[in-house]
Amino acid sequence: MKQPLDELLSHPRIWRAHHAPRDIQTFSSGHPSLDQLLPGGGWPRSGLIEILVERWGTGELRLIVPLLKHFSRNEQGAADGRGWIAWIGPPYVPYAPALADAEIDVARVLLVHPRDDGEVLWATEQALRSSGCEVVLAWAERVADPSLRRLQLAAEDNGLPIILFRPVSSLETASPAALRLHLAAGEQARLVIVKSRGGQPASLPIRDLFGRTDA
Amino acid sequence: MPSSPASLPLFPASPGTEEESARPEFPLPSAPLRKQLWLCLDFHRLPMEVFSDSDPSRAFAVLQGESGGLRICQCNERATRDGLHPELPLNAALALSPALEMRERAPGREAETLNRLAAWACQFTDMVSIEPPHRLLLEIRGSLKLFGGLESLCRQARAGVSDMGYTSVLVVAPTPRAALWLCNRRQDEVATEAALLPDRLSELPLACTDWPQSLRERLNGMGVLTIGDCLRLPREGFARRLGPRRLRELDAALGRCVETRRRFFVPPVYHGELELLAETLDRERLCRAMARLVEEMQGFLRGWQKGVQRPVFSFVYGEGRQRLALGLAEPSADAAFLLDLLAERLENYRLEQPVTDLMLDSGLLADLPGSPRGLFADTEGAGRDAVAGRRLVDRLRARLGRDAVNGVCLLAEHRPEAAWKFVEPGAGCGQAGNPGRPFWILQDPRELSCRDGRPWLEGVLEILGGPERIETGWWDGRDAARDYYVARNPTGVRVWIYQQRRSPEQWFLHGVFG
Repeated sequence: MKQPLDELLSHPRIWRAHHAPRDIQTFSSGHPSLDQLLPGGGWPRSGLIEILVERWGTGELRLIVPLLKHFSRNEQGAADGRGWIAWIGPPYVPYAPALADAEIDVARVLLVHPRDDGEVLWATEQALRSSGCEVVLAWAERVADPSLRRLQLAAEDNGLPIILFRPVSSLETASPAALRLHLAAGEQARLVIVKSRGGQPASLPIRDLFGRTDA
Repeated sequence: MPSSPASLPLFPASPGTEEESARPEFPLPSAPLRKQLWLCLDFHRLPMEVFSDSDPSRAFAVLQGESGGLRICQCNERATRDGLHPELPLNAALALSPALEMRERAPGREAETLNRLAAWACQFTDMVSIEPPHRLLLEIRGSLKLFGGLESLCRQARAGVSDMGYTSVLVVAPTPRAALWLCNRRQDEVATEAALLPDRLSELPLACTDWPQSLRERLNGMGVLTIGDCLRLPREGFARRLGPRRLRELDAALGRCVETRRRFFVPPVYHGELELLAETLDRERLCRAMARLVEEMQGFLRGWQKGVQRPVFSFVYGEGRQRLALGLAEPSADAAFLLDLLAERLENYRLEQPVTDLMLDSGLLADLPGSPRGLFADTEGAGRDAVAGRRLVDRLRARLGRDAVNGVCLLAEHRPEAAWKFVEPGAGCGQAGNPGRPFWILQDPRELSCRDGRPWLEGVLEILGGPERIETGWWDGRDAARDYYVARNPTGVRVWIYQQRRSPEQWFLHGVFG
């Protein structure tokens, strides 16, 4: 009698807390102290990663710069590493000299400026479903749960990460994201791992993350 | 052979007879050496199908004849169920089906459509011939290998025809005339063996030939009912009574002599038109109707092995037309992709008036990217990704507008606001310049308020680093003399601000470190 249940629970889409998925594929986040806390030792290779911030510009880009650098390096041969690094609906314009200084390939930066959140989600899904992107970054204020699910599925089906930046107010609602981080700024700046598939909630001070005091 | 009272002397039907009695004028030709294979597409529903968007749930018929004696030429399935059939006079048809929608037959449009279909068919072979009123002949012997064999080629041709919304009979035969005659049976057929051709053709009734009615009646009167019956007649007698031309046609059908066909030459650009049955503003319906033209154009482009970069879709109404041009990042010949883009664009496109006609112009053709295939398979994966990337740009631009999708590049310039610019996606380049710049830049620096002489952004800004002096640009009138600082506000946002050297009380926000 036990067998069917085991079979069901071993389905890859079912995640049970305390059980790390068997083969979670990851990229190193480039921050050793964060890698230690993330299941599989880094960002998931595909799926939705949510980063919640109180204000744009509190360190969320520094968090992902090593990842963008990784995609710029083009070390996985020709088929890998030729797609766009898509920025969809960013709050400001990414500054090309700073990107170049961080060893991000500006030729592969694709900037998309939609008019509203609906268009952000549409463009994001298009980017995920085309096989022309390496990683997709998107900024949106209000996203309904079904849309999150769509993005998560689109990213998983196409095997690439989507990093969605949202305001911290969305912490109140649940999310199907593979990884959910909260970047808390201010006096006690910390990075909180709200949810990670196959991992435990955790948090670490920003100071440890970036290894500098000026954050 | 039926006995007949006609005066034509009937000869015994042994195959040797013809040769023995052949006179020098009409010797039996020896079979030509070059083997051919002809594919005939018979678009027998064309009179109906040129009216593309008829609603299948409503009775529809195409009429022909003098204005006093209009008769039904073809009608759709719904009308057939009402009891309509070809040759029925209009009055009778209206009595049977009062809600009948009808159009007068448009031979000009049928001919134009057949021309475009010929251009579409050029993707399969360079030898395409138009056989009015509704047929195309394609010589496909040389194309078999490229298309993966006869069966696969026929499948692709059938799929293409139905994708465009047409119906056709498809026949393959070793000679063009046999293919044409077999088509008249309105049944798909593939007969590739030249040796079996006489048997195959012998069964055909004379109605399958394109001979005039009077001639067929005369032959029927003599008891000659099938092509096989004709073949049993002596050659010279047949030629004398019915004309040498008919004998030549019989020979050609059997492959005993070569018959030349006029080759269709593909025009250099594609132009398609389509009349809608009823005017409409419904975008979905317009897209569906346009799909036919786009599919036609796809075949046309494949024949040229080229793509379009700026196809123009026109929506025609009473006095005017609206032209919608799609600009592609890269030439394409993919109908599905073009239709996707069109649907995206139409969503935000305002149509002034209900549309009555559609047009599609290819514009100048362009070479397809990557047409010369790489020798090694491993380069193809990368190429596909690159294509997908450019298609993504097209798709996003179709919906969001051209300016909403960009790349960025670096410029060698000290003024921070001039050290970058928007460029076409993928065109970015440049050397890394000064370190310590913020990831976000404000396109227009924002003036900050000051409290007690200190810059303020949701709280007092705490200066973390600086100043970095940038003083340049005196030569072009937009000179900058600024001291830049890195600062942090109480909420933890790190920003890049500057102080005007000429008016030190003015502070500006220029970037956010992110």
